[in-house]
Amino acid sequence: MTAELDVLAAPARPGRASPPAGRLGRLAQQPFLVLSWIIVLVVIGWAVAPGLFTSYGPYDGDSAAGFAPPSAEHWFGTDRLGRDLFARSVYGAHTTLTATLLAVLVAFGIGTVVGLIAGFGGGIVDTAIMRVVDVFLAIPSLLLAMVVVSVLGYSTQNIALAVGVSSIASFARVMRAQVLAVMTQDYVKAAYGLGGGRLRVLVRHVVPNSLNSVIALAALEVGTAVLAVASLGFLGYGAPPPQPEWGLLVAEGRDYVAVHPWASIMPGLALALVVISTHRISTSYRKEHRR
Amino acid sequence: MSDLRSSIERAAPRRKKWPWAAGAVVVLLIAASGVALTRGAGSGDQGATGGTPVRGGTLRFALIDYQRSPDPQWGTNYAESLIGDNITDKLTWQDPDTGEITPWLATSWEYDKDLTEFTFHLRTDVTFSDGTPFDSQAVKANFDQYVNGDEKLGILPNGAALMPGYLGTRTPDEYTAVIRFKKPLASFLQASSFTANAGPGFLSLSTLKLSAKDRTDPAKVIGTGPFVYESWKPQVRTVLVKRKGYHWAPPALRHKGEAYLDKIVFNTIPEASVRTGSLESGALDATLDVGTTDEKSLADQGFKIIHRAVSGTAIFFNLNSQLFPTDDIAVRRAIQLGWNRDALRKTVLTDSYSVATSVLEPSVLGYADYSGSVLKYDPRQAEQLLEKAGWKEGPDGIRAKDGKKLVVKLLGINNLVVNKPAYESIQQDLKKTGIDLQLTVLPIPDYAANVAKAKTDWNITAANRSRNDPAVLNLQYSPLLGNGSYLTEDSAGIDVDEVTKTLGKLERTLDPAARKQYAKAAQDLLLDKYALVSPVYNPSQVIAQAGHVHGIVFDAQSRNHFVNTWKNNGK
Amino acid sequence: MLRYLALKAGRALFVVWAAFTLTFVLLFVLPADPVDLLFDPAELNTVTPEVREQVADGYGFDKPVLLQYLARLGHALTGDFGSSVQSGRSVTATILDVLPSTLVLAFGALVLALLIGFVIALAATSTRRAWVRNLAEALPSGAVSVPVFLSGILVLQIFSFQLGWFPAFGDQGARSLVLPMITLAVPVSGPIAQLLVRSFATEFRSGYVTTSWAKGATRGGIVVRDVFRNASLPALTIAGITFGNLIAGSVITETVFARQGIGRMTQAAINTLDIPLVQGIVVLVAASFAVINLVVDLIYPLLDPRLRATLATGSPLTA
Repeated sequence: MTAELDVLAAPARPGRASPPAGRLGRLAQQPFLVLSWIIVLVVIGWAVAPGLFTSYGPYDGDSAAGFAPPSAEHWFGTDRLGRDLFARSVYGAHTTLTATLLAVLVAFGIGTVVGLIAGFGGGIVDTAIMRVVDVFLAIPSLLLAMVVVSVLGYSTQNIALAVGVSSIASFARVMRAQVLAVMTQDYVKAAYGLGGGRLRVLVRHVVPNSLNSVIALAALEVGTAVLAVASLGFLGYGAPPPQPEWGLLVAEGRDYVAVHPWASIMPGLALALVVISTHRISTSYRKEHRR
Repeated sequence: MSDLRSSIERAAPRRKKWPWAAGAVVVLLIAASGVALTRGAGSGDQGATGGTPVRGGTLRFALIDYQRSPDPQWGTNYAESLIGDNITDKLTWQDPDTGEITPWLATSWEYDKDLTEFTFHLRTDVTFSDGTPFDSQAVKANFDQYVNGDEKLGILPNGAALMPGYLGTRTPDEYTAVIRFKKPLASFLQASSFTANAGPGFLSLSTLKLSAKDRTDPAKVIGTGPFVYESWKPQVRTVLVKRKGYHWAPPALRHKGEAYLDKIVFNTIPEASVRTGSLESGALDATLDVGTTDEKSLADQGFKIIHRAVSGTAIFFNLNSQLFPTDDIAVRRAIQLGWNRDALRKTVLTDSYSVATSVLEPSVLGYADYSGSVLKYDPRQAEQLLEKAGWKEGPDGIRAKDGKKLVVKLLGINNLVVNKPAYESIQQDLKKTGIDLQLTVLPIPDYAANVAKAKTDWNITAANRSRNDPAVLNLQYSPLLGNGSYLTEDSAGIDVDEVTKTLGKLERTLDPAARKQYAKAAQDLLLDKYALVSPVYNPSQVIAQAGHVHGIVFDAQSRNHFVNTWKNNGK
Repeated sequence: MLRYLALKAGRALFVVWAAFTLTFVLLFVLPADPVDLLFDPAELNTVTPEVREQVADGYGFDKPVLLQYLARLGHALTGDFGSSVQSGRSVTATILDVLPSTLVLAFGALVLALLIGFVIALAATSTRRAWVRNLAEALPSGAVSVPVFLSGILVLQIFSFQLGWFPAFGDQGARSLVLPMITLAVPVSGPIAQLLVRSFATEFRSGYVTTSWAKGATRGGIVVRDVFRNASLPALTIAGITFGNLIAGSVITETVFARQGIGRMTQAAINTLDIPLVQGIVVLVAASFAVINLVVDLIYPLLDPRLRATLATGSPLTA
């Protein structure tokens, strides 16, 4: 499991959308950011329409062509059953991204609501919720995910759920801190002063202005979840065969690393690029909304 | 020579003296290989054939598992049985080549006609490593605890499955033990030599009095074997040193006196690439659990690959006879016929493994070859069978009958590296005949949890059973015991009584000719008449070893014995 | 002050108790029966119900769940977590046996991770070249983007098998520690480096630095003298997260490098549903986490001069 990069930055200021032209202009000055977006979009393309990117099927093995090295014909080489590893990576993007999305949704959805209730509710509600969050924070997420998978059983969905559940606490904590920070801002006090109802203030001011950091965290969580699924695959909690899944491709390829290193390295490279890209996007999002 | 060796050992960890030590090692290596060359040896690897055995030295060995406790009568993994087999001895030794039961701690034995009473005459010169004698009292105390366990001490009934119906042991004199059973148990003779999981190796009376907790102190676990514990570090390594004065190796091994090696270090290395790399770099002398893809490159580099198939059953697909759709014999037969043995051999297996040609592995008495009849790749016949039984191909290529799809759910274990790719290869083939084989291949604990629900949830359970005796079929498939195919009154078209009786006969005689005949009848029923099992491949234990290692023995259950092992690289 | 202390300590205790209870509940709803795992899977169908019952009875698994919970809790309070289902040894002794290996590895990795973090932050802050800064800022993401098991195996292939510089397995001697330490330190260094880069940058722009500029100090001088000390403090705030990363990383590192330790034991314990052992480990980890956070909470105000001043003037601390 990966380290959790901290995104609890300075308290958010009231956000103002920049004019679109300015945003594009800034993008052009940041080639790495552009590259990151391209990588992420390509991978999303793999997940949505894999057939456009490869002519091989993920399950079509050619028993005579096992363990072929990368070539013009097989970009990533083939696995022991002769299946094209590039095709398996492309089709695997669907499984991996679906699982990641589910994990992020669970963590983001539950974590944000819990954090919002704690921060906005205050008092005993806050105390009760945050003590529970403390407990979840105290157990390293990989450990928690391992136990949750053991309980739920083995499937890609359950692994995604486990990874999501193990990140709820981080989201709740960040959301709560943001809510507290926003509520001390003058404009929120002013909104109260103007006679705004509690709910109205919550929906119009607190939620939108608190979400920025959490959205940045969600972008990070995409990378974290991809890696977490890979680590669980390594520890033997993998998706059922023959379904291709990135983490599992890396984990299964590692046994042949001395003889056929690409079986592990090529999907590993794809995985690392996606994680770095999501981090870059997360950072730029956060920077943009802090100014 | 030994002085020089010990000075090298002492000097090795010190950095400054490193070049000297390395130089000395190189000189010794060259000398040793020179000696080996002039003798023209080095091709054989079985004990006496590899040249003149050298005494002394430490064998650095690696395997994937570790001992969770040093207690040799407990344990369900390979490290536990293998190490346990080297610190304890058994009553008898089963010849791995012929399957014959030969003397070990018992010099001779006889049994009554009913096969309910087995009398063993023991060697009189055997002692435990604490100096106490091995006698009939020790046999009785061991078997009593082995079968019944001891609740107070936290000792499990480890031998309950191996010795069903055990009544007790009589000790007419100091060196005679009579073991008695409720029902005929022909397989007990083989059980007296059993070396796989939770084997009946003898422990001293002082060890038997210890609780499970106290047995985690390796110094207190006392056997009669050729090695004794030096240390045990869970997850990392077990170190054995040779037992001084040992001279009762199984006569069949033709080994005189103590073990050749001074010491064996069993390193636990979970990662396949690390085991292989460490062997290549010289940090290990030999390693078990060699990855199939590494075999060839290791052999190319001059390492010796030795292997033996695990005697017992093949890796089997046990077909659930009373659960849709495997309750249809046409489906069961189509699964037997629908996958390509050649493709499996080429893409997944190496020369160390073989495609199963019966539910029994070929070294087991009574094995018969079914590769020409029911266990062959014949997709056309499989399709015809399914068509005839009303399974029509759907738009997605998967067959269906009465609106229900031909989906077959398999439960397997991922403990052997070959399992997952082998099952995936079969999955690919069966799909072409219109069978959707869905795989769930899990670690052992989760497999165990699911086996409890196998009768109602899984069409196929895939595993194997290590036991070099044809009665393994009775244990695994008898409706009264393992009931591997879940035979009940709901199993359409199967005479359950017939199966019970046919398999049961294997426990009623020790006459080899009769047992062969009964084993054939049992295989005919399981594979042909009722098609209850589709065996896949014969699992193998594979060791890669450096050229200077000789005489690692595979026993009848393919566990390794090191009493014969020696090294000639001077370390 | 005393009230503050009591409150924080109370919270820490609550965390430990809740972790204990949570694992108990989770493990009790597990689909598998721990008793099944004591037998050879191939023989499972042959094990008679009587034998099963007898075994369950021996471990106390047959008592009502609440009674089991209370009994375990009572013992746990005295530091007794029962015996491992698998080996029969006491959980406390089993954990204490392997704890030192993990501590050495984790401590070494932590020092190395801090070193990496500071080097990256210094490089990012003290350089005038944009590309160096960009690269240094990108490194933390890179550090956490490769699965630990893959980096571990690749490191082994290169430094142990190709070059032969370090042993590949085992835990004898300092040299066997180098590769696992690096493998574990890299992902742990990611968040530390990121935080340091940010706080270095913040400090660099702050008032007292401007004063130093005015006094004619050099860029490097400022970084070392002023920024370094003040900017390092925030690293303490992620001590808890770092601890969690070290533990999670050790699960994988210890497996790849075949080392003894808490991480590998955790995996084995979860895999074999060794309830007492899992519980002992989780409680130990949660307690360590709580203690670390408690200590950080208590000493942080003492270390930061600005906060110390705030405390002295009696103005309330902000949330």
